[in-house]
Amino acid sequence: MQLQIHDLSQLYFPKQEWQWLRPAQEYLSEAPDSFVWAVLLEGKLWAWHPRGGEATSLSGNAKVRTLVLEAKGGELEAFGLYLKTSFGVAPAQDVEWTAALSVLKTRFGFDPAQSGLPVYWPEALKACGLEPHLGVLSQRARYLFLNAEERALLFEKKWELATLELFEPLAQPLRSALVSVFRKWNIGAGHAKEICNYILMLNKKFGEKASHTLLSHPHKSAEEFRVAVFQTAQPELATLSRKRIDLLRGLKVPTRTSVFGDPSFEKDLLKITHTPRNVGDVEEFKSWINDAAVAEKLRELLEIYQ
Amino acid sequence: MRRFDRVTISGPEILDYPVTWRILKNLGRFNLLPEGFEHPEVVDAVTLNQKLSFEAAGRVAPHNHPVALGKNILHLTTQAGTSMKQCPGTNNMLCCHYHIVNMVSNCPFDCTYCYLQTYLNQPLTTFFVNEEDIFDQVRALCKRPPVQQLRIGTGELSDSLALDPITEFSSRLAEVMAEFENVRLELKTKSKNVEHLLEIKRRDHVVVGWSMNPPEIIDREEHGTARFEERVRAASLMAKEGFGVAFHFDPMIYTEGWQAMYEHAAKELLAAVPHKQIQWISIGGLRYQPQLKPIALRRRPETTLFYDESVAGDDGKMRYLRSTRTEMFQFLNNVIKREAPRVYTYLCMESKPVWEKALGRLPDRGF
Repeated sequence: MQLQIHDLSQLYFPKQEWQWLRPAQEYLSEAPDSFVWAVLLEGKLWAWHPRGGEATSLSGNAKVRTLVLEAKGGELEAFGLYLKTSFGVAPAQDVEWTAALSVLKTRFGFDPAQSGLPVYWPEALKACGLEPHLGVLSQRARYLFLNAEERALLFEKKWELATLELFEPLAQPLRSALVSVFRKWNIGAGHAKEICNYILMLNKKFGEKASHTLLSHPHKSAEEFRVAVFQTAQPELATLSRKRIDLLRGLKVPTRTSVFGDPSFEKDLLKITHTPRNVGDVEEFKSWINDAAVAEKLRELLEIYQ
Repeated sequence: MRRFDRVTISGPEILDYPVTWRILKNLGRFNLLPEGFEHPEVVDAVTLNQKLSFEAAGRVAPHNHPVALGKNILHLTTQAGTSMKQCPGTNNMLCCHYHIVNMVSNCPFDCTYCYLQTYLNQPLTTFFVNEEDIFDQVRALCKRPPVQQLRIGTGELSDSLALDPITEFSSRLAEVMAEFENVRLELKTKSKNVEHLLEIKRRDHVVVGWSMNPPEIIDREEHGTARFEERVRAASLMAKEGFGVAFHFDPMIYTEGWQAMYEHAAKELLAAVPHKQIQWISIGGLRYQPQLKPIALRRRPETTLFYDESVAGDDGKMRYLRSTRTEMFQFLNNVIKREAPRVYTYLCMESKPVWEKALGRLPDRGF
């Protein structure tokens, strides 16, 4: 390792080649411990900020302290060094491992199933608190079907890979439309998963055109959009859900401060209605209502479609 | 049965078990040994499983899952600790009480909806060769006052009979259980491999249960299994030979024309098998952990299993809406009762309200 000083413009940041997801970081010339990592490859210094992205400078072409690492194994080894150093500073999200595996496959034609982990990968995995073996990477490798736009979304939102697991059977234009909608309405991970599921069902029932129409319709809010997708994909369930809300309201249970910490019973009602997964929730209501008949009615309503 | 790509063992001590040699001999007899096989490889199953998991991600469908790749590797090892357990059933659903012996994990069949795809984290087809330890556990369980009937099955982590001609486990287990009163061994299968069971001397405590679906669904979703007619033929043979038989219309699949399909299948089955030998028929609907859907769609993009309205149950599994399930169960139960009024029917992993609505009663006997 050698410390050298270079103009920022002399350094090459392989954003595309190494499929970086991390944002550019400002290089603070005045900070005494500022530096970038670099590796000399075919006469060019391939560099990266210690946090893993490109280094930029507000003052234009800053002088940059450059720690040049040795990579006798060429670019593959340099890439391993990149992972080891940057993931050591800020542990990688799962999607970054998927991106790294994609680089391995597309750029280096390297197959870990045949050749084992490349050099420095075990250290990079350990730096992220992961066991250094192939099994750990298998789930991340499963998501190699995600494109750059989708990986960027997962990275920005800090979503787990499985959020977009149902993207795989969908056609590319539909996936792009979904990504746009998720960004536009700032949809959460749970709802994103649900929407993917419903779009998949819609596709099968009515064809892709129907899904596109629904996704491009000018909905007024995220909630309106979600309900529209739900009602179109699962009309019977949506009708039953509506019926259940009405019946629950008709139960005329006393007002109270919520056991779930919400300020009103109405909100609780909607909460259990929209998340009908746990009939066990009814136990809390039971103790609060203190009326066996009403509690039983409530249970029946919760079980209306389960 | 398909030829294995590899036969592996966890250590040289596995060769000391007679079961290992019996399996190797049978593999040779049925021509199922890998090409150029000389002796089993000693492998570290953990490392091999990790490698397999990674490799699967890059394979083409339907091989793009570790469990799929594990079907081609037979791994022989021993099971430390207990191999018997009570069937876990499912949360908040009524259960049929059942004990399970797990000698094999993973299955050579490849049903689209198979839960092993979300369940097994050691995908190799693993067979435990310390048979005698397991038989001791079975004897310990069976040695009780025979007041209540004890049901033991082997079909949780694999098909009971798919590999049985090679392992010969079922007939040996049947012999072990034959010493006891009021016990039942149920072998659940989608195969036609029954001839080897004819060696069993006492037969009244053995029930061979077939998972049934109409031929159209078997062809579309139950890959590598015996065809409908083959299952019916095997069941008639077993019934004729004095074995108890059972059928599981499980999972029922909601699909266009399901009524006609299930009615036809049930009628054909009940016309071919003597009713007095039918111990029970169970009915259940398609249910799956939500994680199964992306896996199944990835492996079998052509499947139509996951597009109907469904809802997460109290146990977290996805099921058809209650109205759909009730309609399906009621319909099939009525067909069965019309054709074979005395045959006992029950629902698998269903809630009280569905039992009451579909069958008009709750479970009332210990099978």
